[in-house]
Amino acid sequence: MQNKDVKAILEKIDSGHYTPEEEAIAKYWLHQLNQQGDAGLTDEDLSEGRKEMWLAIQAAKQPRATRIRLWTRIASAASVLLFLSIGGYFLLHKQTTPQITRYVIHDVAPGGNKAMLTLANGKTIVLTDAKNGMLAEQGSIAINKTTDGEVVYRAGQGSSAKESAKLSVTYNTLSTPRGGQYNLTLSDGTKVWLNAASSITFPTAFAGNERKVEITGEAYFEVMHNAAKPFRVTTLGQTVEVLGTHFNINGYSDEGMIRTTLLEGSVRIRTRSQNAMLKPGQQAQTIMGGSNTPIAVINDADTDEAVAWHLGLFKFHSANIQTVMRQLCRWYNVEVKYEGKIPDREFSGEITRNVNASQVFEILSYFKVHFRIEQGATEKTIIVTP
Amino acid sequence: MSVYREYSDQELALLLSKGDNTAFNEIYLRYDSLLYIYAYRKLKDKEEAKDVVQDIFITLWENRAELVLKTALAGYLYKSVLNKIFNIFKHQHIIQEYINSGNHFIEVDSAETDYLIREKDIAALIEKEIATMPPRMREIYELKRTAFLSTKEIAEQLNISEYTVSTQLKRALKYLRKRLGIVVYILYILHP
Repeated sequence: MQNKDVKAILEKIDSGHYTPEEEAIAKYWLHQLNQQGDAGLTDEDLSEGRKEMWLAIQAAKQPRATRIRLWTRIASAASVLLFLSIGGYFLLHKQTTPQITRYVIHDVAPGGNKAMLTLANGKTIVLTDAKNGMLAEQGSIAINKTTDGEVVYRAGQGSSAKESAKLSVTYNTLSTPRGGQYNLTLSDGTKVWLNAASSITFPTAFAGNERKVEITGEAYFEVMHNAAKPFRVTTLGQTVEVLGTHFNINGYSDEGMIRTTLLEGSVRIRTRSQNAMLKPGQQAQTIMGGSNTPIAVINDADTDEAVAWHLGLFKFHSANIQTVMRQLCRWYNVEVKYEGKIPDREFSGEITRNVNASQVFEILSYFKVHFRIEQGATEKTIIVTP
Repeated sequence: MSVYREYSDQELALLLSKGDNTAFNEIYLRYDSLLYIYAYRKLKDKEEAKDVVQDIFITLWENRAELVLKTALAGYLYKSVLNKIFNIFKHQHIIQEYINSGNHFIEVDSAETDYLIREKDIAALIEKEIATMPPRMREIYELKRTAFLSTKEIAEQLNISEYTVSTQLKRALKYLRKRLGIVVYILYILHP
């Protein structure tokens, strides 16, 4: 190896008058320039760069007329595209002849913060429309809508524990429609996230020596610790008993089983004749209606998958199409119909929940499962085809 | 696992020229970080480097139908980046700054060099990234990458179990992904 001074040639390049040979030498110089040592980019820089460039490239690949509109959409659906780019890449590998399916006839907007609150006297409040601030008072408890998507129960001024214990227990119910979700803070400070098509019935104040609520559908709990008053959640004949911990219960009746996933602390699951303790990372599965069936405890449960919904994600791990569709139908408030022989595939990956249904289906179509959205008189139906 | 990931660059380039989007995605994932590093080494400006690299990929996509590679795909991509940066240097008079700082030498094998950036130079750059991997991991990765051997063939060649190969491969990919900044979304399809 020897060093060669190319100063004169570089000067000529800079002046703008040079021969092709000189250009080749200058490029040779440029190629070698700063190649030694650390490049100075961190892993974060590279992964940030990957995302950014990918988005710009995707935008540029769109036909020009739609480019601007797409840009705004792309920004909001960044993680979806990321999924497409990185995830899609893994999926796409299975396809021998990639096919593009255009199925967007009617699109469906994602669900949002929608819920209805039923008070003890039967009065109902549509929370979606309600203004922020005090909604109602139940005994000494004030019910406030604090921000969009959250209701907080709080013991009112001047009420003591003793007083609240004397109160007759009144129950309220918070329920979400298909395509809805809502957050609730109970009077003991316990936080509850309610998924679509779900409900929770709870006392406005927790009197007595236990805290008891009942749910349908799916809810994620962060229970305020109180060793003196165990917290009990009942779902279709199953009771989860906790002192203070984080866990998720998925008990949609069409799922066939209740899955209770524990993230922190410990809980006890009871059915009529069975019971089991859960440790963090475990999931209990109880068959609906099978009160004598032993409770199955899964050791290495995918806890992220179980609670992804309350973080605004769909997350699947080796899920079949029916499982995927049940979740999508609840969130997009659509029906599903299967046509022809649907490939028996398993889906893994994650998608944000704040995008239109068509974007989710576009991603899923890479699995060689195709979709079209049909508009009925009142409802929309997703037709799944091979 | 994935068909496209097993394809050679040449096969990907051919598929791309026929309009295969997946091939494009695979090429992007193979080269985006390497090219970004390369561009950044020259430009020392992240935004500018990203602009250059994304333009190269956009051009690659737009001209996919006319894509006839005289050289290897990696060489084509690196040279495209180099040409773009060369123009930036020229127009912004960056070359003068390097001349002033005394940075005006090149390393050559002999006096009669033809100053062509060869495929092997590009390959050497890429190998440098891979070279920092732990040895066993690297060995398997390289066998797989250059020879396109199956897991079974690698096992036979290195006289280790197939299971070891596949776990080492997974580890190598994970390591590479981390090093090259591949984001953590990993999807796969399990066949019935």
